[in-house]
Order: sequence, then structure tokens, then C-alpha cells
Amino acid sequence: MELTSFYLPDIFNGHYKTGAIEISRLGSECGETGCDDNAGNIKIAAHELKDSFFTEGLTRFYENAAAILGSLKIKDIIDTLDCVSRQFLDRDNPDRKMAIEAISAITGFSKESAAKSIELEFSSSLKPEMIAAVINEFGSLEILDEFIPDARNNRRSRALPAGPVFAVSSSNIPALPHLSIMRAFLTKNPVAVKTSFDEPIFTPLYMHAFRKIKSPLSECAAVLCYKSGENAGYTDKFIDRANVIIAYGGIAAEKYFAGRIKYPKKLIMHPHRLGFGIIGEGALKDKPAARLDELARSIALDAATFDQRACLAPHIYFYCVEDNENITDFIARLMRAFEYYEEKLPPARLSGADNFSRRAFLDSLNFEKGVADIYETISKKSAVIDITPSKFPLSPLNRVLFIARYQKPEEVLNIIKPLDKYLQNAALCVKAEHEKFWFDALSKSGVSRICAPGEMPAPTMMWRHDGIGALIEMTKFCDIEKYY
Amino acid sequence: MKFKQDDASVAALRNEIAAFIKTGGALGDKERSDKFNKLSIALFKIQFSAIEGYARYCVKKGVTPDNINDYLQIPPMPVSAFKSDDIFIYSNDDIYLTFKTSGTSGSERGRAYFSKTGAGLTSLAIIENAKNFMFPDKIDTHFLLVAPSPKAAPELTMAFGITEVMKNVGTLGGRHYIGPSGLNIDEFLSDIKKYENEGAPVSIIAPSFAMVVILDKLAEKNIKFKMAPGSRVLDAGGFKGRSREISRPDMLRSIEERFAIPPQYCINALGMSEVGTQYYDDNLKNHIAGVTAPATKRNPHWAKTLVMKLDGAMNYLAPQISSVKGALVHFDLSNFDRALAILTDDLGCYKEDGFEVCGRIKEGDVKGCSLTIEELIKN
Repeated sequence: MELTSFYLPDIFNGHYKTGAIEISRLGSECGETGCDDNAGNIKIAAHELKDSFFTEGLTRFYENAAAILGSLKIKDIIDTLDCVSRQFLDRDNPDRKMAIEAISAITGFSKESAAKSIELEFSSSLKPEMIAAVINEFGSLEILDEFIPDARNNRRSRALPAGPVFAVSSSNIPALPHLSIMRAFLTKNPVAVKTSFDEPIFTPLYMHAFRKIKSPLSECAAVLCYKSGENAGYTDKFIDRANVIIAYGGIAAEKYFAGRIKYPKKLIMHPHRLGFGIIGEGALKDKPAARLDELARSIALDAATFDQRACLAPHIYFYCVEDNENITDFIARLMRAFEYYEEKLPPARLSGADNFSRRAFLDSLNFEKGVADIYETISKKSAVIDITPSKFPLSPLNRVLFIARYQKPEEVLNIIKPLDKYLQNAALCVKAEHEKFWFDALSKSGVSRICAPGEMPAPTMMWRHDGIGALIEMTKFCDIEKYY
Repeated sequence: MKFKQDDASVAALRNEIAAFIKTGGALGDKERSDKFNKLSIALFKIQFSAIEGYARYCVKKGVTPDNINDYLQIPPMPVSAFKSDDIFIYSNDDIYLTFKTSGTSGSERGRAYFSKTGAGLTSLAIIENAKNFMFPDKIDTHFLLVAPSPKAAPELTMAFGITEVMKNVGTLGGRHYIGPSGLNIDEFLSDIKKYENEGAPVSIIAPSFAMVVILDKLAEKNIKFKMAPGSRVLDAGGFKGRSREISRPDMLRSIEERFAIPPQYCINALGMSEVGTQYYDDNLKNHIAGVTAPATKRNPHWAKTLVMKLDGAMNYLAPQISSVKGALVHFDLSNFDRALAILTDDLGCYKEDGFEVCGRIKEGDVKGCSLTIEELIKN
């Protein structure tokens, strides 16, 4: 199959033309003369939308897809989604192989990282996880098909799709955009997805998998790729025709969507978020070396997965220096762990500008008050900074992790307090008697997921991303009550 | 170990550098180059000893005063280091001037400290350079400075620099046209008209964005002046969202149309708070010398600008490679008080025997350092 940046169900035939675009292959191999950021281009199929795409095609698509989804039982939808997820977990699947190659070439992620990302994304998108997620939010599966008796409250309830949905994806996590489609299907919403120009390959591949197995779900999602700057009107038109908008992106995207989407439309926004971890007082005391090395590997894994570009990833691990292993000894373990992951999950290739910025960032830390030392692996592709911070230090990502010394929990809480709107994942390694304190404090500080070190990149599908019930937000309820 | 301004070794080196700034241009190539190298290494040793963070950084790069014999080995200090408060070879009691940096990534601005003697050295560098590139014809002009005075804006390096030029080049002096309520356009136009009528040459010096604002106002009212021959314009800095952006050729056309000042007499300069020397285009110098060549930014003999590869390994591009862009690094002997080698986040390339600024090095949107905590909180 040729690489393509879009996927459009047959109902759009006649409303677009097929052309081609060239996507830069990211390669920053620096030779004698400088860094060549553009190691050739990859030619991929692209769409050229006609005016009728919006005036006729999109409306018909949404109507047709809504009818198809409405006719399907939720269990059948889950079975189909599970089938496609398993295809991408099958290491012999040619589409998976192609996706890994293409994602690596375009984004700079190593093939191992792209493969790991696909593994993580789809192993949390299997039937048991989907069923658990639906039941977690709705209490039953069938409530998405029909009215379900609610004996305790003496009523019947049904969750109906609130869409259509328009989803805007980012490129920072390979294979992540499938999640918007999966959630839309689980709530029986038709969905149009705008992929990122920085990684437009995977989402069309995902939808082609439905077409290959001749699933009617193949008619229920459209995947488009366009540059917002050059086609500003497209996004407005998609927003106008959708009721639910899911968007990932930075501050500029957050401001745009917040200003553009007004009630009764619903915005599910996933903007920049900050992750961190905490090694509490005495948590490592008297632990055998093997256990400490294991913990160091877990922390390194949190930072190495997705090269820290996910909102889930830690910028910093707070390390209580009271009653714990000497911090420099623990950092030595961490550096060995980072070396290990450089072998197992090789770091991403960076563009010249990114490479330079990361280097300049690390170099400038030598001048920063509070920085005790900067440790780097032999390749200099992973770094740990020993710091006593006065504020939350932001990593330039790409395997730069701060280890922040603290003595009292209040020091941590004071540092994270101004960022309550932006906190998300926190990894916690504390003594059992301190857990309740940290659970309470972190939840009140804005954290929306607490897990163990090493688990940051692998949330379950049940996680309420950014504290939002991802599925329930895409539905509206009808309750039958006091009906005799 | 912080120094005192009157420490014998420090004062001796400062005087030697001042002498080199004044007279080094007359030396032969090899002698001048050797002298630059010797002075650079001597200054590096002082800065290494006095600035703790810089020493730590240099040691990480494997460079110490004991193992250096070429200025190219000196690790350039990243501009973002100026956000720390310790980039100064003297104690804080000796801070005479503080210039705020324009900020690199994010909103937090750094501070470049100058001692009284350091400010004197910087002033000397600014004046000598202006004489060479802005007044190669040695014409006396009236100065119209579209900037606040140093008293009104003590943290603005441009206000300091151009005022030093006004006070020390020629005899006619001039005035500032930015006051507490902004640009005094009426007074500016009134004075321009007066000098036009008198047939007196002027030097208009303005930030690039302010020049655009003035040109737009003149176009709006369809005002044109015919300034005396020998009049010139110096603009510096970028637009930074404070005016519409126009291309260099468009700006030169507008200046010629509105002031009758030809492009050969319009000079662009690069200045930074962190660097004492300003880097001028050589077009007027070339024009006066009868040389035809594209305008390029030139180093005076006490400074050198190199292009560093973006590979993170601190390697410089060879000067003959002009087709590849990299990060600009300025070595500047007038940076006596701070660090003589500065790694900027300006993207640039070699051009002719000088260099060209091509924009800023920007990291991708998904990268964390594109944000600062201040931006997040502000948002």
C-alpha cells in the first residue's frame, strides 16, 4: 500500500482530488559542512478538497456514519476495534512494519521507539481494556445501545452520541491519534480527524485496517491532513459542523480552540501538561541494590519512552535527601539505566535546531544557581541534572531529566502549586505511611493520575485523561423517570 | 575569585586591549591575529577565574587556562547564561550599568553587567567601530536618535551605544526623540525639516521597527524630504512584532523616497546587550572606498564572528563554507567584564569576509524548552 496522508470513505468520492505532498525525512546527521536537517523527502498521497466537500460531502458522511454506528451493537464495535488493535500488535503485520518505518523517518523517533509506542497504545486498546473503560464511565456496555434499567434509582437511562466529532491530533506520540477514533466509535460518534503535518501517516493506516476487514466502521471516520496556516477556513468549517471537538496541541492551539468553540459545542482540550515523580523520605532506605537499580530503570523508562515528548512524561523527579540513598549514588544508577535504554530504545534523531537548543539548554545550566551537577551518558543523548530548584524546572525533553533535591514535602508542594492547571501525571515512590498524605496533596494540586515509577507512559484506557471522562464527555444522556 | 577593577593585572590587560582597539587595525595581518589570540587567552584566564559558572562550564568542555593556546578553544558562553546573576568578573558593588537582554527562548530576560571601566572599553569599541563603518567619510552630521536617552532607559543597550556615538563622533551633537509618551514624531519631523532647509547632513539612528513606523507615517501624510548629501540612516534590531515587517530592499526604497538618502548611506547594524561591539554592514565603507560588493556584516579587528555547526559538539564551520547556516558565536575583546566568547541563538552564515544573520534558531513546538514556567503561569 502506498503511503497516504488521508483516509476518506467512499461517500466523499467526487468531493476531492488526489495529489501528492512531500514530507521531510528528518535526519540531522551532521557532517563536515553542517547539519542536514532534510535527508530527502517522502512522497505521499494527499487530498485536494473541493468546495463540495464541505457543502455536501461532510454532511452526508456524518449522516451516513451516524446511521451505521447507530445500527451497530457496542459489543460488535468493541470486537472490531479489538481486531484492528491486534493487527497492529502483530509484529508480522506489513502495515505495522510500514508504519514504524515511516514514523521513524518522518518524526526522527527511532524504530524501536515507534514500535514501543505502537505496543503501548494498542495493548491498552484491547477488548478487556475497552470494556473496562466503558463500564468505568457508564456502568454498563448496553447503555450505549438502549435504555438500561437503573433499579436503584427507579429509572432507565441511555447514553447517546453527542457528536459529530472533529478531532485535531498532534504528532508527539506515534500512533496516539487512533485514540480519538476509538473513543468516537465507542460512543457511536462519527469523526473527522485532522492529523498533524509532522506525522500524517499512521491515522490513515489505522483506518485502512477497517477497510481491509470490510468493517462498516471504515465508513465512520475521515482522516484529513492540511496545514492550518494555508487552509485556515477548513478548521472553521469542521468546527461548524461538529458538536464535540477534541484537540491536542500547545498554548497557541489551546487559545485558538478556547476562543473559537462556544456553547453548546463541547471542547475536549488536551494542551501542554507537566509530569513529575517523587521519591519520598526514607523510600529507598535499606533497599537492596538490585531494587534500587530496578527503580532507576523505571525512572529512566519514564523519560526514555516517547523521548519524553508525551504529556505523561516526567520533567523532574523530586528526591528527598532525608533518610535515603545518597543522591549522587542514586544518580549514578540512573545514568546506567539511561545508558541501558539508549541501547534498548535508541533516542530520537533531532533536527539541527533541536539539537542545538538542547545542547545550549544543558550548557546554560552550568550557570544556574541550584544546579549541583549535570550528568550525561557517553553519547550525551541522555542527561540528568542534580538541582535544588526554586521553581519547577522545565526539561527541553529528549531525555533530559531533573533530579530535584528536597527535604520537606512542603518544598515540593510549593514548587508545583503555581502550575496546578498544567499538572497531570505524577509517579510516586514513598513509604506506605506517607501514601495518604501524597495522594491527598497531589490530587488537590491538580494531578490527574498517580502511578508507580516506570508506569507513567502506560496509562490504562480507564484513566480520565486530564481528569475528564473521555467517553462520557462525548455522549449525552436520556433518563426515563417517573414514567408509569 | 572576583577581581577589582584596579587590580594590576586586570588594569594592565584592559589597557592593552584598549590600545589594541585604537591602533590594532594598523598592524599587519599576522601580528594583528597573534595579538588578538594572545589578548583573548589572557582575558579568558581572568574570566575563567572570576565567573564560577563559566569555569564549571569550561571544565566540562575540557578547557582550562592551563591547556589553551588558541582562542578558538575558548568555550563560548550561551546567551541564556545571562539569566543567572553571576556573569561578571567583579563583585556586584562594581556594577555600573545593567543592560537587559532581549530574551532568547521564553519571556525571562537576562542581565548583562558592566563596570565603569568596562563601560569605558565598550564605549571605545562602539565609537571606533562607528567611525570606521558609519563615518568612513569623516563627515560631521546632526544626530537624530529615535531612541530614549540612557537616563530615561538605563537598561537599554541601544540607548547607551548610539548616545556614545552622538557624543563622541563629530561636533554637532543631536537629540533623542523617544520620551515618556513614546515617539515625538512632530519634533522629529520639525527638526528634519529644519536640517533639510539648512542643507545640513543628518544621521538618523533608529531601531528597525521604529524606522518602519516613521516611514509609514511619512507615507500616510505623503511627506518627502530632500536631505543634504552625506546624510545617512542606521537601523538596528529586528521588528519583533512591533511594526509591520518589510524586506530590506523595500526599506531602502522607502528611505530613499522619503528622505532622499540613497541605499549606500543606509546601514544595518547588529547589537546585543551581551556583546559590547556592534556589527555594521560595510556598504557605506565600501561605497566611500569605491568598492562594489554586497553589504555584509563586518568584524572590527578586536572581534571575530564564527559560525558554529548545530551538531552540539562545538565545532565551527570553515570560513569558506558560506552555504551552510549555523549558530553565530561572537568573540569580542571589549567584553571584558563578562565573557569574551558568546554563543547566540542567532542563525547565520559566513558571507564574503563577514557574516549574515538569517534569523533565530527555533526548536520545534513539541519541545518543552519552547515554553517557560512564566509563559505557562501567564497563560
